[in-house]
Amino acid sequence: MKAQSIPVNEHKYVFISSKDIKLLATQTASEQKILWRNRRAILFTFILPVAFLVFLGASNRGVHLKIIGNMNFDTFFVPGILAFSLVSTTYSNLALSIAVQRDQGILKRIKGTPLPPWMFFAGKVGATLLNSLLMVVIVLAVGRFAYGVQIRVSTLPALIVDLLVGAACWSILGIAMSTVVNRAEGGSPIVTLPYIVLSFISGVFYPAQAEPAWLQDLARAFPLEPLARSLEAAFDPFVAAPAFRGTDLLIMLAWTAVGTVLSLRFFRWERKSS
Amino acid sequence: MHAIKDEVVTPVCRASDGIGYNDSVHAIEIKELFKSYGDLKAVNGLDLTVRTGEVFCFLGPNGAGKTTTVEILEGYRKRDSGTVSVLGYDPENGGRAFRERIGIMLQESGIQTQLSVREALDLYRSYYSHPRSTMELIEMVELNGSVDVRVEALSGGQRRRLDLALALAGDPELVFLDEPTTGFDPAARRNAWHTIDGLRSLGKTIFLTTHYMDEAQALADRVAVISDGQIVALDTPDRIGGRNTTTSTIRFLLPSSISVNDLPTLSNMEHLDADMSAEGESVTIHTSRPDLALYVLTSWSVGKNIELSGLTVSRPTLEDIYLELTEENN
Ligand SMILES: Nc1ncnc2c1ncn2[C@@H]1O[C@H](COP(=O)(O)OP(=O)(O)O)[C@@H](O)[C@H]1O
Ligand SMILES: [Mg+2]
Repeated sequence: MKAQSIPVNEHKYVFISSKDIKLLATQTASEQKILWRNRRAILFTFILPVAFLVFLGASNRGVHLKIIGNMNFDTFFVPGILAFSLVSTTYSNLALSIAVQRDQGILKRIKGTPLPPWMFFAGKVGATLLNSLLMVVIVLAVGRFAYGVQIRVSTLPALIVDLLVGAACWSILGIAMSTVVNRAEGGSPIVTLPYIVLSFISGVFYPAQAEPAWLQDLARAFPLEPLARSLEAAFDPFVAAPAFRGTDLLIMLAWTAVGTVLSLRFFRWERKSS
Repeated sequence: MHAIKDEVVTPVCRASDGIGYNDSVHAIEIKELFKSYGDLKAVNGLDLTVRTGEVFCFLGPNGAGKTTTVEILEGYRKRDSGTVSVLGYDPENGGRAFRERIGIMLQESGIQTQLSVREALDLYRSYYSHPRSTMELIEMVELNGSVDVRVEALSGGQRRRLDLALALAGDPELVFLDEPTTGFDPAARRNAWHTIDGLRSLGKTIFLTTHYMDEAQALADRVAVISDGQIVALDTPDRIGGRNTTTSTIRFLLPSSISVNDLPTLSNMEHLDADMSAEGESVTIHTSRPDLALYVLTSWSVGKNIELSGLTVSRPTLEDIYLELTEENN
C-alpha cells in the first residue's frame, strides 16, 4: 500500500469540538423534522399512547384494583402508560426509522459522508429522547390534572433514573431490532408485535396478577414489566421513598448490554442484496 | 440547446491538454484487483490509474463489474485481493478525512423524503468542513424551481439531479458518479453533462460509469471498456479500440444510368486498399484511406459530371467498437 497521509488518530474523538456539537444539534433537529412530517410515526408514537391514556382512564374512573391491594386504578395505569409511551417513542420509533432508512439507501448515503457513525446514532437517539421527554410531560400532565395522580417529590430521583434507564434500554433494543428487519414494508409487524404482546402480559394496561405464574415470569424476563413496576413504585403512595427497585433496574441494564452487543454485531448500513 | 451541446462536445479544457493535472499524482491507483461473490468473479484482475483532473469513464454492459469496482474505491465493499489507493488512502479505512475529499453518487440510494430540496442540501452540507453554498448547488443541477419542494414530490429525474447536487455538497476533489444519467430525458442528460463538464474545468477528478456510448464520447478524457470484470480496452474516446486507425466506410447511391462495373478501380492507386461491394443501387466501400478513395471516386464522378447522391464517410462509432470489444470477451 502507498504511504498513508492520515495521522493514526485523526478520526478518534477524545474531545468533542464545538463544531461537532453544532453538527449534533443539526442532526438531532433534522431527525425531529423528519419524524414530525411522518404521519404514521406520529400516530404510533404519540396519538396511540395518548388515546390509551384517555380512554382507559375514562372507562375506569374510581375503580380500585382488589388484586393489587386495592390500588387506585389511576395510580396503577398512569405509570403503565408512561412505560408504554417510553417504549413507543424509543424502541418502535428507532427500529422503524432506521429500518426504513436502510431500505431506502439513506444509511448508505450517510455512510459515504464525513459524518462520524456515532454522530448519526447520537442524532437519532437525541431526537428520540426529546420525543420521550415530550411524552413524559404529556402523560404526567394528564395524570396529574385529569386523574389527580400525585407526583411525589421524594421519589422523583427514582422516577428520573427509571425513565433514563428505560429509555437507554429500549433505544438500544430499537437499534438492535432494526438489524433484523430487511424490507421496510414487512418491518412494521416484526417490530411492533413483540412490544404489543409484551404490553399485554406485562401489567401495563391492567394488572398481570391474574395471569398464570409462568406468564408472569416470562414477562418479568423482558424489560417492560420491570420498567412498569419501577415507575409504579415511584407513584404508589404506600411505597416508601426513595422507591428504587434494584432488581428491575438490573434487568433493564442487562437488556441494554444485550442490545449493545447485538447492535455492534449485526448493524448494517446497507440492505442485503437480494 | 446548441450552445450546450457544443460546449459538451468540445470542452474548454481537457486533462490531456496538461491543464489541471499533474502526471506524478494519481487520484486513483488500482493494482491486480479481485472481487468475487461466491463463484462469480465480478472483478477479475483489474489494473488502472486515474490521473488527477481527468474525467475517467468506465463503460460496460450491465453486470460487467462497474458498480463493484466503484464501491470498492468508495470504501463500501471489501476487495478480495489487490491494492487500491484513492487520493493516497486505502478506502477500506479512509475515515473522515478521506470522506471530506470525495463525493459519491451511488447507482441507487434514497434521500430523506420528508425534507425539501433546500433542507436536504443544508443537512448534507453540514457534514463537510468546506461545503459549496446551497444556492450554487441548486443552480448547478437546475433545481431552482423546486427549492422548497419535498423530496417525495420530486420526479425521478429531479431526484437524481438532487442526488448529483448532494454528491457535490462538500466541494470534493474526486467525484464518483455511478450511472448518473440513467433514466434522464435527453435535455436533462445534456444539462447533467454540462454540469460534469463544468467540474472538469474546475480541475476536479471524475470517475464515471455508464453504459451510454454518447455519454462516454461527450465527457470522457479516457474510457476503459470493462467486460466480465476485466478491462478490454483503455484509451481516449477517439482512439479506443483502434478507432482512429481501423477502416472507414464510404457509402453512396449509384445513379440509375451507371452500373457497378463503370466505377473506377480503386486498387490501382498506391497505399489504397479498398474493398467495394454493391447491393442494388447502394455502394459500400471499406478502406483505411478514405481520403485516397474519395479522391479517386470524386475525380471520376466530377469528370463525368455524375452526381454521387447520399455520399457519406463514416468511422466506426464508439458503439461499433464497444460491441466488438464486449463480444470478443464473451
Ligand atoms: N452484493 C452482491 N452479491 C452477489 N452478487 C453481486 C453483488 N453485487 C453484484 N453482484 C454481481 O456481480 C456482477 C457485477 O455486478 P456490478 O458490479 O453491479 O456490475 P455493473 O455495475 O457493471 O452492472 C453481476 O453479475 C452482479 O449480479
Ligand atoms: Mg452498476
